[in-house]
Amino acid sequence: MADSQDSRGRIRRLWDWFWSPIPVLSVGFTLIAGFLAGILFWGGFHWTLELTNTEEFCTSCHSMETNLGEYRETIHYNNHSGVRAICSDCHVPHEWNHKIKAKVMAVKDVYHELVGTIGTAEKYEAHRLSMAAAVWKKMKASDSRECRNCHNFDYMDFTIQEARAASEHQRAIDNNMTCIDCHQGIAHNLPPGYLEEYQKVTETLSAQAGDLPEKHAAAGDDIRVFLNETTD
Amino acid sequence: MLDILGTIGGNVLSLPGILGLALGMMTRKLWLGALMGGVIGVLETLIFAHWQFGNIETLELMIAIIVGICAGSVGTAIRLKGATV
Amino acid sequence: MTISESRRTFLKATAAAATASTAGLSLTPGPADAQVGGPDIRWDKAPCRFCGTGCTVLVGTKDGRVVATQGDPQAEVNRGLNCVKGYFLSKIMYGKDRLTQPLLRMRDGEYAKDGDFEPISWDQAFDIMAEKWKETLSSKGPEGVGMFGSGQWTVWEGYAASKLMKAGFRSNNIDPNARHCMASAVMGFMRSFGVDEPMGCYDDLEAADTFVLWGSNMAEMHPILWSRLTDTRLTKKDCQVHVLSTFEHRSFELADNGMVFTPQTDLAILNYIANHIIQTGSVDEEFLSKHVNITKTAQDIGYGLRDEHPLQLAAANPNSGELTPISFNEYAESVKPYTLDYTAELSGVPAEKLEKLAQQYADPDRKVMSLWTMGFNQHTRGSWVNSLMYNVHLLTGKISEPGNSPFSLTGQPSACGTAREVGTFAHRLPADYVVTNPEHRAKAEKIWKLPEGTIPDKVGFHAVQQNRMLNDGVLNAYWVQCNNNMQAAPNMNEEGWPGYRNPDNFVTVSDPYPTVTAMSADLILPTAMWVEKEGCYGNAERRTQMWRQQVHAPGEAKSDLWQLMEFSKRFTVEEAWGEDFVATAPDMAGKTLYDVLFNNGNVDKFPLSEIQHGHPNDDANHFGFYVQKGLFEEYAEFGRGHGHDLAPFERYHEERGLRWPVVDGKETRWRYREGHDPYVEAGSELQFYGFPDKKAKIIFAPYEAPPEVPDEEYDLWFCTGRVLEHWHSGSMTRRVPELHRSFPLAVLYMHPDDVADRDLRHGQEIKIKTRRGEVTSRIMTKGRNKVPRGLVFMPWFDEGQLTNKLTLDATCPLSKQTDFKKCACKVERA
Repeated sequence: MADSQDSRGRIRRLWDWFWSPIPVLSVGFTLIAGFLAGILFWGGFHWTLELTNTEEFCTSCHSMETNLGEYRETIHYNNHSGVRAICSDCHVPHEWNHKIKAKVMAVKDVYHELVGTIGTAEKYEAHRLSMAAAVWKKMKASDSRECRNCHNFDYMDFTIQEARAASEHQRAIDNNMTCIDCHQGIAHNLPPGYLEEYQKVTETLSAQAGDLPEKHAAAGDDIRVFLNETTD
Repeated sequence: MLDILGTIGGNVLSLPGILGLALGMMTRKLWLGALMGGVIGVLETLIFAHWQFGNIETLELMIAIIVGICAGSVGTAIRLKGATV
Repeated sequence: MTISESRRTFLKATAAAATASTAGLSLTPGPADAQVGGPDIRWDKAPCRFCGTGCTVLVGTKDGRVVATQGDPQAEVNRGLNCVKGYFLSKIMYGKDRLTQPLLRMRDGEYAKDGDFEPISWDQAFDIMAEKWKETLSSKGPEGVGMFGSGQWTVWEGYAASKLMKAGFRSNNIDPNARHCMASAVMGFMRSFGVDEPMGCYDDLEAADTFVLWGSNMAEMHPILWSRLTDTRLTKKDCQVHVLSTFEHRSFELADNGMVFTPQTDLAILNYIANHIIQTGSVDEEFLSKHVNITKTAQDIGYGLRDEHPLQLAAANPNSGELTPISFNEYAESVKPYTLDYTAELSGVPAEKLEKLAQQYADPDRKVMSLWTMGFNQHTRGSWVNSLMYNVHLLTGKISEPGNSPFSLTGQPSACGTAREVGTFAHRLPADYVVTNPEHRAKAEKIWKLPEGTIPDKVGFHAVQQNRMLNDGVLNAYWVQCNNNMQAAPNMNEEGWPGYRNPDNFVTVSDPYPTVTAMSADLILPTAMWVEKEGCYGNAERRTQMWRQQVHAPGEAKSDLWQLMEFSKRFTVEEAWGEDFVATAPDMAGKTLYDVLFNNGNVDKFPLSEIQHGHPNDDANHFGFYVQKGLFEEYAEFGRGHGHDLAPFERYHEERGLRWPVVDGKETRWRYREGHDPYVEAGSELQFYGFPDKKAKIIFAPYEAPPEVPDEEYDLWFCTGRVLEHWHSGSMTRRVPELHRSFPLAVLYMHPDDVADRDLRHGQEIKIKTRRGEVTSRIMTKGRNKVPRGLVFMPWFDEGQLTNKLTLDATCPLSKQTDFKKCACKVERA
């Protein structure tokens, strides 16, 4: 009732209510209620989060149209076995802390969609390299963590791989290389100048990393020569 | 047997059990708590059957309602025991 | 998509034929083409080109090309079935790189040992070849020339080659690749029975109660026989299958009792079984006293290595096969140490399994068929182990009757029919005669109408020795026909390759395809294959089968027979026999070898009119007489009347083969048994007529360790073998796209724990190393072969992974057959 002796504002009243002890509710009741609320909240949160990981959600933005078209041409979209990887399998980490970080950073995607940064084909192309580089940087820094959700060197059967694939993978194992070193452009088209860009990414990261410099797989000729001499 | 136990357990840990318990705790009237729990049971079954009445299995519906009623009742009991209002 | 009319009629006809033959009818007697309505495909029968099972196939020819094959529903052996290799027979002659012209290494228009291959004419080819052979004959004599032939030669090719070498060039340096395959089996037969080849037949596959596979992977290597065995196992009550090997393979899938034993301990296991039979009183004493002599053989006999090798120098009785008669009690005492516990410990096979096996042999009410192939034969004590197997069957009398059958399975399609029966070995003549026996030589010279003393009595160089002698420059003019010995012979780096490339040697290789052997040679002669010539093979159950020519060979390719006979025209007897010898038989003077060997009134006896109308026969037409029949009938003279009887030539074209001895038109299924074998005197029940006293021999031999066992550095057993999809060195099967795809590259089967211990992974590229060489391959830990810890297995079909760079040229000292199954290796990453 607005004109009772209570002269506090609405928000003040809410605040006081929240922080006052309630004589009428037992500890048990409150605990159980809180427990249930937690479950309901958690369930709801998780369900919503997973909803943002679905292919339908990711591709609901207009900006993703080009991306989707390119991905549909690749083996991760469909293949002989029907086992596939959707957007979140590669771009959203499985581990909780990494996942939440990615989700928070993804808010920028909403912003850019609203603003239309890559809303047209020309704008998309203009940004392709930087978008790709950002992803490569993340993948390189995490040692291709998302790839390794499914792919594992230890369980690759080199007897059914092509000879060239088998020997390259063996080289990768021996030199502690990571998937993204060679497999850029596996789901979306490669931007022009990708080799140099990737080299820049690797250099930036190894400058940050300090020891354990990571070898460059797809780089300029001098690097390739260096690799050929040191790995055999 | 195992199948039925599994269904009961699944319901207890899902909406009829959790939300039914929570709703039951919102009232001191036993019949209302039980009713709300039962309704949740029906609603959950409908949701999981994608609102197609043809997809609903009678046994699952029964178990969901029963679990919902029990959870709602327990919730009201907690309200009665654990709160003075 | 509709199928062509001819295919539809073919399918209908074969379905009908298959149904009819299942119902016990046969649609038509006579040529198979009558079964198919379509006039555009001609069907005719032929034995399969591949293994010793000897299935019959129907070959469909259209417009001068083989277009289809199918298993022959009328064949007793395979009853319309084919394994996957036989299924693709129609493609083996049409590989893209089929050789069509002779090729000679040349530089600047002249022969040069290190030159590149250039095409030449047949005339030029024989010119250079004859020049080199005459050079060698005059400087070194007959010992300097040699030939390496084949258990895949047709009967008359082997016969002509044997004649050319032994009677033409007067050299016993002819040996077949069957030396690598069946020599130990032959030794076992000759020592235990006095005469070669199994006494039972494939009918035992339906008659036996228990099957025991010793060192044989029938499921992959004799698939059609395995189908018959499986049928029996699955339909006959209480039938049992026991399988023994040094690793688990496909045949284990059907086994009631699968046993993996330490390499070489098969010797001990067999002695244990003999011991068990004696200890449990299961010896058939009546049988023993009537039909068996007991002997022991000399021990510590070395390993067939070069004489200077430390192991040979350390041996007490190197190469000795001396037999000493012993009493039964002495024999019983000899096998006594092979107790169940000792044998289980030595072999690594659990005692209960060994006992189960022994009980099957001991049980008088169980008919037992023992089957073995390369595990027994490619063995440094192969001759011993073959005889030890017969010991067990002889102790219990389980022999020469339906179902009781120690059966040596043959690998090649005509190791029996050609190599063994024709005797294309360094020590043999046709029909089990030997060059060391003057009576045998005299008989051969009589049949061949040659002067006394033509055939040399000195045993020639056997397979492994031929490679060593090429290496040492003792053997200088060499002809390889119908095999891929560079890939197949052991110890390639040290003994195989250097011999072929020795500048003192001139090596000719006849082959349809550019194999590694051809590429190692100096002269390559393009050769006709299978149904590009009229042929004859003899399979594992003594069944001789013939086929007619269906198509012409491509380009200038010619059959081995044509090559041998044309080459013989280049030599006069003076050049080949020496002036001195010709002086003792002046009526031969001035003649060519062709005259005395092939124009001798026997081989050229039958006119062209006897050839069946409607089929080509290029060889006969070229020489002007029915050469195949002439050679066959002359050859058959050796065996008729003394246990190796062959039917008249024409019969084999009519039948799906006949099992010798064929007497009065009737084939023999079980030898030595009265009622089945016409050579057994009435009233005597059983006679092992290979020996004068008509008794077989039990031969005791102990367990002796192999020459090279795993040690600190080379810590794994290295075992080699085959896979279902490929025949031998893959020269034919790898050129069929479907077969190549099904198993493209060799792999190394290895136990996953052994792999993990070496920090390796399945599929990883590795180097297999022995003391003699190294090969790069990939690790395989899953699939058809499950090897035990400490052993690795590699198939040898892949010419890109030459397995025989790794193997050791140790042989059974008696049979001279290489042990390809045991040496020591290590595996490290590539």
